[in-house]
Amino acid sequence: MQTQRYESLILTVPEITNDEATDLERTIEKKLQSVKGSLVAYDRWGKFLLAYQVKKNEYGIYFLARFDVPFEHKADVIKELKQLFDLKYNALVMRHVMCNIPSDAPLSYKRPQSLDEMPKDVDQFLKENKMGGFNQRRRSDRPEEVVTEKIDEQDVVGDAEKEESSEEGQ
Amino acid sequence: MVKKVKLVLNDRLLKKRARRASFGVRKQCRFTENPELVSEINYKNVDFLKQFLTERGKILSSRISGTHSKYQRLLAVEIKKARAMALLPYNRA
Repeated sequence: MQTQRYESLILTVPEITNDEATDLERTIEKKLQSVKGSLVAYDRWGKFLLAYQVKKNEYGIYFLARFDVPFEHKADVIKELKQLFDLKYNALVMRHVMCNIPSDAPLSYKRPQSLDEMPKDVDQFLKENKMGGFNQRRRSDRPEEVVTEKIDEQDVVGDAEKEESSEEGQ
Repeated sequence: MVKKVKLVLNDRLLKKRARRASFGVRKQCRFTENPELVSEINYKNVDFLKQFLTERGKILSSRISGTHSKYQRLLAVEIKKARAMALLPYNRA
């Protein structure tokens, strides 16, 4: 049986719960199984800062679904899935896009980094990448400060000797 | 019988040639130079597509980026898909 592979990127509201996300996945899977199709992959990308406000939301969560559909039911399954996103899940799904991909292509792909994956703590990020921040010079463990201390000691010693010599002279 | 016409090198043609030469080296298309990059053109690969946008979020013209029209068309379609999904901005103030 010949199948066509599709890919669908779904943008949902940021307040989506785990139950709602699994419910969305199950309904897609059920719809596909009713026509002997299959859900190949279902990835959660995570939270993103959107490029512009969508339905008054600054943030959103992306899901990527990939599925195989038999050639006979191609048109009606896509139509029904679109209706599902637009009507039943209208409160959850903000945007969605659907496109067909070659079925022999590898499933790996490149995607932008989500907010969950980004390092939150600045100090920790700098430590991991061995970078100095703006407060580089203020840190106590810098070698520069050790050098200045040495100079100070020498100066103190020099002053003390001078004082001694002056006393002797008197 | 076909009449043969000799192309006369007139003043106007010479000026045109000089103008073209004055622009220096012609820009190269990134996708014709290494065809592996063509598979990178995808609406999910936002970081790559950002190279073909201006600071304002407009699509960079092929006149400036040097991209051939075949790949410029592919790029434009994928950028517009990414815009609809709020991955890329329509405009940035």
